Amino acid sequence: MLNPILASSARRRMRTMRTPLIITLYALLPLAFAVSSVLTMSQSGLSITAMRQNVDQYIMLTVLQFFLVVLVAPAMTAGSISGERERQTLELLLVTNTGSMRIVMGKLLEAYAFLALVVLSGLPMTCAVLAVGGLSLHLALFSFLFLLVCAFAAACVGLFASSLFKKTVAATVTAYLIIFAIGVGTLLPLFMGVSRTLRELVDNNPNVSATLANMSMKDIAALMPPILYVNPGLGLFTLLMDQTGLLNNTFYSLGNSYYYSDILNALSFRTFTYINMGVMLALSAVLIVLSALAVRPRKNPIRRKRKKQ
Amino acid sequence: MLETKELTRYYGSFLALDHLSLTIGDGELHGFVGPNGAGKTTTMRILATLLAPSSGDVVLDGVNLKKNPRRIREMVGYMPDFFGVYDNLKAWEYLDFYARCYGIRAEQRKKMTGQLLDLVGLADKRDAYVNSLSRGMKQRLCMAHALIHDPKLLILDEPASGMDPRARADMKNILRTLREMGKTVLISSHILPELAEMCDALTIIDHGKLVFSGSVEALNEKMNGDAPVEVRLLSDGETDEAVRIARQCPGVTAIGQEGPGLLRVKLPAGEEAAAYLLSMLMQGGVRVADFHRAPLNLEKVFMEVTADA
Repeated sequence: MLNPILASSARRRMRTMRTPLIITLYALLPLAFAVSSVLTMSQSGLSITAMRQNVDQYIMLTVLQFFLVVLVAPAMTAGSISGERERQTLELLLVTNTGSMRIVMGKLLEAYAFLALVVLSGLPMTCAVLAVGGLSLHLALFSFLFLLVCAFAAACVGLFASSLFKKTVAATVTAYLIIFAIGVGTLLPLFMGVSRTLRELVDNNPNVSATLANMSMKDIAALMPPILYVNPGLGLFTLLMDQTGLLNNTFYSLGNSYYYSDILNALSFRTFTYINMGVMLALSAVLIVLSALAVRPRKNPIRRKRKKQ
Repeated sequence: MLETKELTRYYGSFLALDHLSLTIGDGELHGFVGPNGAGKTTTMRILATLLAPSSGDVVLDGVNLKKNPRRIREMVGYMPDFFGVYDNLKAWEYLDFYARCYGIRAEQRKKMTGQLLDLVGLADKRDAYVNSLSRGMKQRLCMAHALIHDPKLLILDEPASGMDPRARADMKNILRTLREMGKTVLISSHILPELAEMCDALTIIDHGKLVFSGSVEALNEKMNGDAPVEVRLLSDGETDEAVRIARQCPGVTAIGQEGPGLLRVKLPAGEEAAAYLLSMLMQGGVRVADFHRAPLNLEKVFMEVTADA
């Protein structure tokens, strides 16, 4: 049987005018880029310059979509459990035999299904941007997959915050603080000191690439500070660098990222993106479990407190 | 049917429920009375598996709540004192949603929602949005929700609070129907008279402690056994003779005239003294039109009972 919370929440969401409005507004973004691409092509024809402009537009569009998804997703789930508490409907759910994991998954999947719908609504127009050339369709599809993984992770952050608080406002603020910590806080290794091993490898080694070539992928991956793999922004950067061959200078001008350039090259941008997506999904799974634990009232800890007294 | 053994619950260091032991028989309409903060809602939330007891046990039809809360949830329907409803959901969809949460199959769901909407008098509101219903209607709908999985025990926490007299009368009719259906109902209120007239048995708690548990008659006997007997004579002219006879009866401590042909005789507790007085009046040729103990003043009883706890 379909998860009842998923079915009911989806039904209620689709009955509001806000839903088609959000989808329409979101789809307008790639539409604007598509129109711009077609105008460029009609003016200059199919040329290398037009293709390069097109790739730039694709990068801009993907980055914009990324920020929209990462900022919208937590807001969509931050009220999922706390909203039930505010409406005083959570207890009615908990007395049924619907487990807390099913409640949490129902809420998450409903919000995520809508997010996926919104993200995918931009796909046809994004493909129109590609019509001019410069990029193949499968690359665009992969970046959509990346966006969907980011949306899922961000939705899980919102869900987790929602499971902790009684008020949606508190849950929303907490969700954005977590997103900020993940988005900006995990970049700190790029701006702080570099490990001695890495510094010695890069500064005292005339042929870093050759050294790295003799190392296993696992060892190369371990040279990166693990927290960098958590950052979805870096995942997007490596994804776009891999797909377009551009942005390298932009990336390597950030803090100490120069030290990581050879490692990233040896590791390949795509591998970094894959690891990043895997880490995001693993953390999402952890957040889902924690949310489920927070939804069901815990065993009474008071007794232990009294014993201490 | 239901037995709580030494049920205790702390909130921090505050003792909300103090070794509460009570028994509710099968098919009983059991009133649960106590002043605000007495522990009624805490007890009911424990019975509904929403709260874990600090100590003590609950056994429902041989099933232990701590060991098998899932089975208990299948057997219990719960209507909280405060509850919310979902926007953008019709009355039948609301019931259907909870039926799905209980895992009820489609055919059965359709049948149950129709029957329950009929039972609570909302058949004509089947397609009305839940948020458009009046408070009384929402409460009836919530009661229907508590019945959707055909539970053996129905727990109703202050179901009539905030209702107007008409809605209260409707609620009482529904409760009578449920009793006819053989459901065991535990219903709470802080107003004793409201419950005493329709309940088979009552439990009174105060400060988390059991004050009284038993039938309404037993409560009457306990608290009102020595209430004065009201004697209404057929003719006012027989008052003097009746007073003379009553004075000769052993144990009579006071006789008052409440009106023409209406006497109030203070007797010892028990039926013996009352029966003797009646027989003496009859033998003396006094025509007695009505003879009964003064009705139970429930407000007074409630105040007296809870004052000692």
